[in-house]
Amino acid sequence: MMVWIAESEEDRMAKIRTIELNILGQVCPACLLVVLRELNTHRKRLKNGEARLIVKTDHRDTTRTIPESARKMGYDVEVRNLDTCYEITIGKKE
Amino acid sequence: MMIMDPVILASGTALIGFLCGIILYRGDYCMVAMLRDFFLIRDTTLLRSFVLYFLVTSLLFHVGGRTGMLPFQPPPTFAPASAATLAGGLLFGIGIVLAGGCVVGTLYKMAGGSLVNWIGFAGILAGSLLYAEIHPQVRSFSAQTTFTTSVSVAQHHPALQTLFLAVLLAPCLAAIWRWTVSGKFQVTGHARGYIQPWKTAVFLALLNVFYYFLAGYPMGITTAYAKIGAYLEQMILPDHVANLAYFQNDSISFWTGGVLVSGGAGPRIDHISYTQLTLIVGIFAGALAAAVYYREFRIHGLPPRRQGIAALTGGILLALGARIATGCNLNFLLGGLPLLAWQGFFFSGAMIAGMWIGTQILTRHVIK
Repeated sequence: MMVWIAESEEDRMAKIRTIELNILGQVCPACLLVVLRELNTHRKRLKNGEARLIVKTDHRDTTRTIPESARKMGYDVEVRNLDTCYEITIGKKE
Repeated sequence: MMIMDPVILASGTALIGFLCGIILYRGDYCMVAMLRDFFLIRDTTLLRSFVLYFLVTSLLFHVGGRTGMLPFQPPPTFAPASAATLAGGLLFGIGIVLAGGCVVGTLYKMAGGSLVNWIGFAGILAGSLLYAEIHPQVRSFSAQTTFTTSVSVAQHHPALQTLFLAVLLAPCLAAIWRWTVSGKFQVTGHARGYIQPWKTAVFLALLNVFYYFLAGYPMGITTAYAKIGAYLEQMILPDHVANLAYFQNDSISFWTGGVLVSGGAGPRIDHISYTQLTLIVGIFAGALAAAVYYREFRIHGLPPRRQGIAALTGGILLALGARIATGCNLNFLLGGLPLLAWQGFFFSGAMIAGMWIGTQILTRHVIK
């Protein structure tokens, strides 16, 4: 007899490694450059959904340039307004 | 005939600055990003909006000249181009990329609480004071290397102006039409209170025309940085400041309605005080108001050491560049290009080359 244990959403999320980047207070275009470099370094894991990139930035214009660039590369991007800054999450396309 | 009352001039230009500060902050309209991001990721979004800016400003400046609303063409802040225009543009281009902002971008980013731009600001003041020490040598170099006989295309020959306008504006119009139809002017920005770049460009064009009408010349700002520097240096070395030619002489002087209007970098109240100093204060205040309104004002601490050093060096270089060329991107790109001033073309070319060099330094040595 086989017992199926349903994998909960939280269990699934926990397996996704989060790569966090804090670019607050850095010179422009540090945010853009660092994110592009990280996307390159972790390409495989980001593409197959093992990892996702979370960026904290106070550069307003990067909420335009980063989603645009990352979407062109085939990623899913979400931008959240945090208190006094922005959080950009980049991961596998669902 | 222009308005001469200092109170009207000062409050008018401060208000223009305040509005500029709000829209620049909201649109995060950075002229450094405009070209640097093209070098980095081939992003042309902001450059497209600049084409629209150029078209609107060219037409309004031209109409203003014809109708007598903008009587000073070319304005007193322009001169024939020289090797100093090129050398200054190159240094300026390198400097703004390292400092992460031009003379205007630095102000609105400072207002958001960015310490790296405060470091850049200190560099700009230091660079302006450094220039005061070499002013006579630089100006004699400039005089010896002048290579245009006129200040602007129109001054060279009126017919040439019509030709230039037709040749430059026709492709601009065609491109703007294409971008409008294909929806390329609409971009997605997620920042709070974001303004589309094309709208920011049109607002800026209108504000620059109003400024020109009030001040007698299109927006300029760097002489006032030197003025702030001069006031500070005067507190420590009053005798030295009193002996420097740069702080004694006026950088602009022109007659209007039988009155001599003049101003310079020296520590005194003059036309620069109530047209440029007010612009600095206005832009900073407007951007600060926007940052506070959108709850974004926050000091995130000092940047990494390499970035701090780059910002200070960048500030010094950009101030030296602006002083050597006698103007910045505001003066030469936003004002000089639409006016078809020779200095505008040569400064822009050299600045773009400098920005390319700056981008190489930045990606190889600063942001690792």
